[in-house]
Amino acid sequence: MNPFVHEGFFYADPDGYLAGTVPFLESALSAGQPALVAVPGPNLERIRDALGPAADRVRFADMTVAGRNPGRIIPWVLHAFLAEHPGTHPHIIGEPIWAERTPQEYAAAAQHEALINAAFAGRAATIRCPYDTGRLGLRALMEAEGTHPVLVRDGHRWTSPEYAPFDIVAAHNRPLPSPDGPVASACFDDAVALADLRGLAAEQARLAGLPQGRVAALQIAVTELATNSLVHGGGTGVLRLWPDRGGLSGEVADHGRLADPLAGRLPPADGAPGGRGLLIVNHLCDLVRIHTGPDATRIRFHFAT
Amino acid sequence: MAPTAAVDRLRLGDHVCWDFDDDDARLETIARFVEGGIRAHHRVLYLTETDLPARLRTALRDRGVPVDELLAVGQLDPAARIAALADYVAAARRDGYAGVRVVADMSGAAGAADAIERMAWFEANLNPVFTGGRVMAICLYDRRVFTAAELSRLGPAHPATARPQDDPATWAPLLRAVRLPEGSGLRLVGAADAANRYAVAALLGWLVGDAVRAGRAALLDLAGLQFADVAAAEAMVAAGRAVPAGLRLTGCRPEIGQLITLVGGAGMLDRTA
Repeated sequence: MNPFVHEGFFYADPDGYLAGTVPFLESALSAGQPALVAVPGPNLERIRDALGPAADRVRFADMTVAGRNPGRIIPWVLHAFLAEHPGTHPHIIGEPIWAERTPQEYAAAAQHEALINAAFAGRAATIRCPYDTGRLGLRALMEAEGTHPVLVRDGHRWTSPEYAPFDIVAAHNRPLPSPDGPVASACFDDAVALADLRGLAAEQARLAGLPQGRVAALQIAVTELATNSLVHGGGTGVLRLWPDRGGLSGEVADHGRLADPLAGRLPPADGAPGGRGLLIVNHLCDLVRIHTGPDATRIRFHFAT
Repeated sequence: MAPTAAVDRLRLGDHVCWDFDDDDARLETIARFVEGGIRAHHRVLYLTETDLPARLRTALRDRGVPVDELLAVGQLDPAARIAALADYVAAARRDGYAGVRVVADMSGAAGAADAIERMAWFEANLNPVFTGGRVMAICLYDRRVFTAAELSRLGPAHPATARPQDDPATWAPLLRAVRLPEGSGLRLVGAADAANRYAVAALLGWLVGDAVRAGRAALLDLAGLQFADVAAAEAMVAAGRAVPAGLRLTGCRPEIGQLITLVGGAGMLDRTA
């Protein structure tokens, strides 16, 4: 039997929220299992208050920070917590979807929820994901039934008849909206050009007002994505950058296919070098979106100021 | 626009993959590089399958370089191959030269099935010799002879590459590596990415070997490193794990330190730097 449990938990109000999270955490603690709460700040405080002194034994992370980029959650929040606690059965409250998510963030978060199942299959862990039925749209609630094999509501727990996670991944693998203003772009076809791409990135980042530390992160992201295009994406590509929502967005497009939907979500097996580029991109960016097909891949990223 | 004039900016220690697709630009680059070497009292080694080409002799004479005298005294030294670059550099120093310049015409080396892999290995493993700061080299790769795929293997065996489309006014070597005077140490200046991947790997391999043989810790001075990609950060962390006495990274920029931390090397960062 698969020791990995992934539950979609529907709640309608703060009392319902606590009823579905606090006993879940308390029973984990009393069984001596590690517990993590990764949810948006106000809900985090709600759980912390309700737990009382037991909160000291729970790890907390504000999901609007740690999971601002949904692509960051599997490797840098969940996997990191599991890796820290080998030989246990961690219990996690993970709330990656909230009403204020933009449409592009929501799409990435829905894919993230779907990919959790494949990422942690066979691992001992239970992850319960709260969904606010009062504020989330119908699509988010319906898709939660597709991404979670088990659903929980008002104390009831049942197997989702709609569970089809890869359908949800595919449903959000759509052409990305075109930028609506001027775009700076550069084609590249060899590794020597990477330094030029970093120069363009720095120039555009300064125009967009990114702070210095984010400029460096942008240069790393651009270098990693373009290097992937050179190695896996047919050997050529194009970088585009444009100001967006007070920050900077960009993308690297090439003629390859990103066949593995878990690329960039899990670190390679221990000690194996290479293959960490997308993983780091997910860590550094505030949002990563991917559209991939048989002979074209576009990876878009956003850096907020 | 070939970056010919940029040869004037090369320093002892540089090892550059010089791509060309135009014979005039190639000749001009070599003549300028040789002339600069003669003026700096470097011994100039021209590695070629043939004798010194007639066109090059003419080009050098046109620049006022006394070719025959230099050939006679051995400051200008055409050779098919040499046994070991390190020995050649040491001998030139004993003979009173200020340094060695190498022009390596690589076209004759193409052809055999495993030629590219052999050349890439050879080029990468020459890099430690350059870290002593007594020799510089331009390795000439003809884009009409080598395919783009072959050059994508050969280029990264060098710390830096110059391409025909590069601007001579702004071109500078991507990376320089300098051996530290004491202990087992290396200073990296510039950037480490896919364009010099195999050179960086060979340099780190040399550093690990040197530290392990001497039974001491290795030191990597990164104060001059402006950029490292994820694979370069991983290579540094892997090198650190291969030295029993450890590897210390000093002078790291915050973003490179963050990258090294993310790939598991937090313990190697020198927090006092």
